[in-house]
Amino acid sequence: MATMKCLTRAGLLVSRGRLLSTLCCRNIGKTYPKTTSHIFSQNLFKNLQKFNSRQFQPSLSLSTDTSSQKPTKKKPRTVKVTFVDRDGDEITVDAKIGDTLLEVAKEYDVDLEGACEGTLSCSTCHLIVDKNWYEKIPDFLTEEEQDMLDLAFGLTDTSRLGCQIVVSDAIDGIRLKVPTETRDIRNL
Amino acid sequence: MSWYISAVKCLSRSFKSNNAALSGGRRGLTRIAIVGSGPAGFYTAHHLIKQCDDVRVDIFEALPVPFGLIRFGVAPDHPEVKNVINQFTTLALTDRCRFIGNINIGTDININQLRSYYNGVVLAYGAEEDKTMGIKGEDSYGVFSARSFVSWYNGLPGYENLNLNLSSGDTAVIIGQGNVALDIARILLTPLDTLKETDICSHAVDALSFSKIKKVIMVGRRGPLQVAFTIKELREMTKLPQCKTMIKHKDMLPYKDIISELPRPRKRLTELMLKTSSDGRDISNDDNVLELLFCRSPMEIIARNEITKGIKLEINELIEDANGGNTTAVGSGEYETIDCSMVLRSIGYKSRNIDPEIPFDEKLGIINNSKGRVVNNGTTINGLYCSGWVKRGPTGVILTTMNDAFETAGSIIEDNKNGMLPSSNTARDILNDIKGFEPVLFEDWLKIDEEEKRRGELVGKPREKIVSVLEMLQIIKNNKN
Repeated sequence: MATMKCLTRAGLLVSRGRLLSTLCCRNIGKTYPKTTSHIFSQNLFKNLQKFNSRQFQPSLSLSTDTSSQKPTKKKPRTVKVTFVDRDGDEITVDAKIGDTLLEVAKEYDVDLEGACEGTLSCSTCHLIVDKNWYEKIPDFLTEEEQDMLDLAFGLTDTSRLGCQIVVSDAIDGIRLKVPTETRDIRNL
Repeated sequence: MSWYISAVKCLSRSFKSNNAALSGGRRGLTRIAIVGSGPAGFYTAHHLIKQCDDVRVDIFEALPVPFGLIRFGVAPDHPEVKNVINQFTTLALTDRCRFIGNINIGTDININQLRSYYNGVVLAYGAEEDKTMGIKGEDSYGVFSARSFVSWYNGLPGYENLNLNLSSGDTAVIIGQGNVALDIARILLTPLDTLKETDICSHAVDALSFSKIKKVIMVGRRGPLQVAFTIKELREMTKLPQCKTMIKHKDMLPYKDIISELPRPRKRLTELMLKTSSDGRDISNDDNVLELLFCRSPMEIIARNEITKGIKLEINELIEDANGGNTTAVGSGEYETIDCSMVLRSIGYKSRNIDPEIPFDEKLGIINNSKGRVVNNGTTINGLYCSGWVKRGPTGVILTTMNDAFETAGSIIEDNKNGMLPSSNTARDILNDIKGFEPVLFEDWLKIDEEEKRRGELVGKPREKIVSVLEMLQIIKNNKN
C-alpha cells in the first residue's frame, strides 16, 4: 500500500513538473504579449525542472486516478472548475486532472499570482473555497499550508492555497473565489 | 481597506475596456520610470504593464544587479522565496520594460531631470538605513546592525569585509523579535554543511567556520503576544538540527487560557510558542540554543576597551491600554546584565531622502503620499509616485509589498486615464543623454548571472555571488569585447 502511494506521488511529480513548465512558458506570452526572448523560456524550463525535482512537495493525501497521470498522447481528462474573479465575474474552465488550481488559473489567465511558483513559500495564490466544496477537497490541509495562509489577506474559514489543491474527479464543479478583501499582516 | 478593492476594480475595468480609456489623456505611449529594482519596483512595473498596453517602464537601479532585497535580503536558505525572480526576469525581457542598472538616482541624475523624460516617476528605493538603539556603548566593537549582517552574508557590495567577531565568545544577543532577527539567528546556528549548499557568500562561510557562537538570545521589549516574526519562520527554527529553541514555560503560562480568543494567525503562533516552551532541562551542552527573552529593553552595552562584553537590559512591565488594544512596555527600574561578545540590533529599517525635491517625513521615514501619489503640503505632485517600504514603512512580507505596488500602479493608471500625468519630453531616450555613466542593461546582468551560476557550480551551490561592482562591470566589458 505504501509503495502504491509512493508510486502515485512520483507519477504526479513528473506529470506536474511537465505541465507546470509548459504552462508557465505558455503564460509568458499571454501575460506580456510582446515577449521577445526565447532563451529565457528555456532557462525557466530548466529552472522549473530543477525545482520540481528538488523542492516541490506534493500534498499528503491524493485520491486522483493514477492512470490519468501517465503521459499519453490522448487528450487529458478535465473537470469543470469555476473561479470568481475580483470583479465578481465567474469564469468556468476545463481543468486538467493532475494540475494544481494555481496551474489552472495561470493557464486560463485568472488573476492569481503564485510568486513562489507553488513551493509553499508565499500566500499569493490564496483562494476562498465555496463552503459546500471545502470539505470535499481530498488534499489534506497541512500545518505548513496553514502557516502560509495565516499571512494571507482576507483569510476565511474556507481559505486554501491554489498550489496545494490538485484537480481530480472529487472536485468536479468546484467553485472558488479570488479574495478581494484585505487584512494587513501588521494588524496581526 | 477599500483602496484595494477600488484599485482592483479600476485595473480590471481598464483591462476589460481593452485599454481604450487609458490613452484618453494623451496620444502615444506613456513612459514611466521606477527608481529601485526590488519587489516594490518590479511589482509596480508588473501591474502597469499587465494592465495597460500603452505603458513603457524603465526600472532604475543604483547597483549593476537587479532585484533588491530578493537578492540581498531573503535568506540564502530560503531559495523558494526567490522564485519570484523568474517572473520579474520574464517582465524585464519584454520590450515594454527596461532595466537600467548602475545609475544612482539622486546622485547621478536628480529627480527633476528624471521627471523631464517620463510622464510618471515611481520612487521604490526601499529603506537602506537602520534604526539605532541610542544607548551608551553602541559604538563598541561587537555591535552590528542586522542590516549589515544580512548584507554581509548576502553579498551586498561594500559589506564583504565586515569584521565580525564570531570567535571571541559563545553568546550573541539580538535586539528585536522579527523575521530578520530569526534569519540572523538561523544563519548563526545552522550547521555549516547545510549553509554551504545555499547561495550564501563564500566569505560568510569562511568566517562562520570559525564561529564559536552556540547561543543566540533574541530580546523583545514586549511579551509573547507582541512578537513580530511569523509562524513559518518560528516553526523552521524549532526544527533546526542540533539546535533547541528555548522559550520559558513560565513566560507562556499567563496566556494559556486566552489563546483561543486570539485572531487565527496570532492564535496559531502563540500555540506553537506554548508547545515549544519548556523549563529548559532538556537542553544539553552540545546543543546550539536560540532563546527568546521577553519584556527587556536595551540600556547599555557593557564594553571593555571599546570591545563588547555584555549588555545591560531593563526589565519591563506590560501595560494594556484601556481599550485592551495596545500593549506598551514600561521600565520597572530593575536591570539585568547578559554576558555576550556580540550584539545585533534588529529593530527596523529606515528610508532616507535621496533628493531634496521629495517631500519626506523624517520622523516616520517615509515619503508623504496618498495611495502612492506623492503629496507636498497637501498638494499632490502630478506624475510623482512612491511604492513599497519608502511609501508605507519597512514592514511586511513580499505579499504586502505586492499589494502595495498594486495600489500605486492603480493610482497611476487612474491618473493617466484622467489626463493627470505631465506630458514631458518622452520622445527623448534618457540612455542617449547619460553619457559618462555606464548603464547596465538586463542583458548585461544576464552575463553576470551566468558567471555567478558557473562559479557556484564549481563549488556545489546554486550561485556564487559576485560582490565587487568593479568585477561585475569587468565581466560585462569582457563579454562585449
